[in-house]
Amino acid sequence: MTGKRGDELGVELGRLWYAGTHDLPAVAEDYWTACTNVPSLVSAQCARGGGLGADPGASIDDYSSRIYQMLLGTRTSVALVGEALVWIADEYAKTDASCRASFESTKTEMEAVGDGS
Amino acid sequence: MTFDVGQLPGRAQELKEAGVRAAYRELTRFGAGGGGGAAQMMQIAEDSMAGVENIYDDFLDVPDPADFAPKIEWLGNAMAKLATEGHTSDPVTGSTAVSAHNPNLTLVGGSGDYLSDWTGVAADSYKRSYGDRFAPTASSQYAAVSVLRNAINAEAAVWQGVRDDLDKLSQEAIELMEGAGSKGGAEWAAVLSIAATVITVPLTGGASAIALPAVAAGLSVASTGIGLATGGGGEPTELGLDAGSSDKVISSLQTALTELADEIGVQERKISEALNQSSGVLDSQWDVFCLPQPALVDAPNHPVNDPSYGGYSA
Repeated sequence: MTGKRGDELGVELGRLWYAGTHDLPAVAEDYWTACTNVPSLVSAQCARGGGLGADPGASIDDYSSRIYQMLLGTRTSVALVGEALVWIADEYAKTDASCRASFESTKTEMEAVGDGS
Repeated sequence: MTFDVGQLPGRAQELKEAGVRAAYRELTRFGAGGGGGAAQMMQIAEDSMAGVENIYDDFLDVPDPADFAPKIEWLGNAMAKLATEGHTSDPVTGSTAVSAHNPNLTLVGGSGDYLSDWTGVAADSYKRSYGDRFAPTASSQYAAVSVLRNAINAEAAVWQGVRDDLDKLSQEAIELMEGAGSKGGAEWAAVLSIAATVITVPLTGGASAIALPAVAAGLSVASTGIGLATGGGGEPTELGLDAGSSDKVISSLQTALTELADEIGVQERKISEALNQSSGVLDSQWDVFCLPQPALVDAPNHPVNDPSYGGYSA
């Protein structure tokens, strides 16, 4: 097989695995929190009797739904990228026995440290 | 605490009673006449104030600015998750920081760095087209959310302004009515603050520098705790009204209420127009505000070293 092998590859795969299992899920979670903080049906608060004013509730709701979709779409992409990185790391490690020890030790070390640095 | 419009029916009744007394004073200024004249004059005075008890009815069912406060707080929470380093203040009002920046937002770019030696087409484009663009995109999202937050705050400002104006108008009307019929030529310099409640703000969408039409509150909204934005706002409208007699006080109040109702529409149309235009900007520039899903997500459906996806680490 062409390319990196052994410990160097194992460390790199360990970092990818950590990014996929910790970093990107953390970002996806942040985006989910942002999504859940986007209000829906602000128009209910704008309602008034007697046809007074020019109720902007529908315009607010329309824009708000776009913001929700924007954040949800980002959250979904980030989560899927994370899954893909984990899959790449795990599957690639299976193709090269020389990297497996450093792959596993890198995963353990990074989890112990708590970040991907 | 804004004025409770539930007080308006009581103030309308108080105005009516003061109006009847004022009209009676006006009618009997030179004497009521004899033989049932006083009762007849009182009936005429009461008839002249017919319907005044309903003068504020159009304003009894209006939004409460406090009801918008939780949604504005939620959007501040959302902005905190999208705040990148250097983009932590409210871009619409230019005010101080909404929150600290979210350090997690750099992690996506970092994941792209981990793939920098990988030869696959999807791995290579992930870093350039997604990882490196993620934080700038988050700053554009931050600006887009700020547009919504400030638009809702501006709507709250409209109704705070309406309530402030109704409080003043309804009190002043009673005070002027108490004096009507006993002194001539009174003027009523009624001031409507609502004209200054919504201001338009030119905004660029964070790092994307795409223009997002926005509005902000032209007054500090007590219930949301958000201060006023500066620049581009209207001025309070001063209405020179005639309060020289009981009927003039009522007709002047009706004029002021009509002006108030018209101005609600003017201010709210600014909010709708800004958001409709910003929705159009999002639609036409969607990829700037929501990066397309990278091809790398499809890697698990292909061989791990597929050159179109991950390839290998060179």
